[in-house]
Amino acid sequence: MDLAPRIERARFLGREFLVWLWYESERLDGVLPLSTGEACELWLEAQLTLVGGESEKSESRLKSETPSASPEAKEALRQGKLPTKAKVRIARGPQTWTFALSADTLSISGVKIPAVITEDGDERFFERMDLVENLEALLADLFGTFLELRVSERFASEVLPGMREWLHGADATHAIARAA
Amino acid sequence: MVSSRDTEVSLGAFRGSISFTKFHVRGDLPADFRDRFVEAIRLRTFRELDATAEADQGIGWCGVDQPFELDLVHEKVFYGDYLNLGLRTDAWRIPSSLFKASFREAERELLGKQGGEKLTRSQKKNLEAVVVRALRQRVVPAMSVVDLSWSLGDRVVRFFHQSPKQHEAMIALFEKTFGLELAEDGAYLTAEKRGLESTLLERLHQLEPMSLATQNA
Repeated sequence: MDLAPRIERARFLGREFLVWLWYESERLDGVLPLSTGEACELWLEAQLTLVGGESEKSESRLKSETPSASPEAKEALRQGKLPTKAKVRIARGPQTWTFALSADTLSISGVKIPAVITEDGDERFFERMDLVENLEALLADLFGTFLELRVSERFASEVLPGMREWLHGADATHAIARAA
Repeated sequence: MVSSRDTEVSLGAFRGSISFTKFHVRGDLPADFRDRFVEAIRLRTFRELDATAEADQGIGWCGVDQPFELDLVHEKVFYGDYLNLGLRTDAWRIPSSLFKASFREAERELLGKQGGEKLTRSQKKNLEAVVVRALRQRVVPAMSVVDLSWSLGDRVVRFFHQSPKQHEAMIALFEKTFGLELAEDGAYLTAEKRGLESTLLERLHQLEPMSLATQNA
């Protein structure tokens, strides 16, 4: 298969990654393990856009302090929508970044980086890029964990039922599993 | 001058909040890429618009964070392992009210000279071109500049704008300049870059989207 169709074919994984981050963040009280053995803190906050269900045109845009905790957000997931964009706060050690993550392209926007020390010039550029690359490395690590899980058998046997239970409650999960 | 320069310099690599789209460079860098790239960049450096030419806009490279820097030598382009550029687009934007008023005046003048009540379609078209050229002498083109930062070792280009139209223009110019293809970031390329085992990478294509929907939703 050529590259372009491969890229298009895998786009849905970005949305699934975002909902997995949301699930893991709530399940683990915001502390997500990294492959290095360290951990980072991650929350969805302020803005959340979900799309899908019966139509790609069906969109829910939620804005509040913690929109992912709202009943509307979970209801949108139950309707079959998945997040396409979310504002995310991520912290490791003393450094915190906030940014919007677009699921379909995994692009990040409106990044607020930890304070830059250098005032001006080339050093300022290197420092900013370093902070951006650190953020990208954190996201790539989490995405890698998700992908390895997603292609494993554990995803269908443990993760997906866990997510359904998180969303529907235990009884509904068993009913969905039986129907599937 | 009718108006001051309408300038849009996006925030990015050097200042302000950071928004970018990431692209992966496909293909290998040539051995002597630094010299070759500077030469290639200089061929596609931004050139000031010519008011008498037909083109409505011009696009080309400029110094990163320095839209008026068009003498792109090594030290203006290479920052350690990064290649940094600005994508500058200038366009003639003549306010429509100004164009309409100027056209009416020119039309009255022409009809006064040649007689008759109205112009033919081709006369109108010619007159429009004359009016546009005259107005271009009185306005300053609108300028937009977007930062681009290419991390050469990682083969990653960060382009500090998120509109698909800007992406398209940048990709076309980048590929013409460097002879290397760009692919927009996404789940597949991130997986590939992360070195996910080829067997697992193959399994990605077989995955079907998960559903969390209630059955009767």
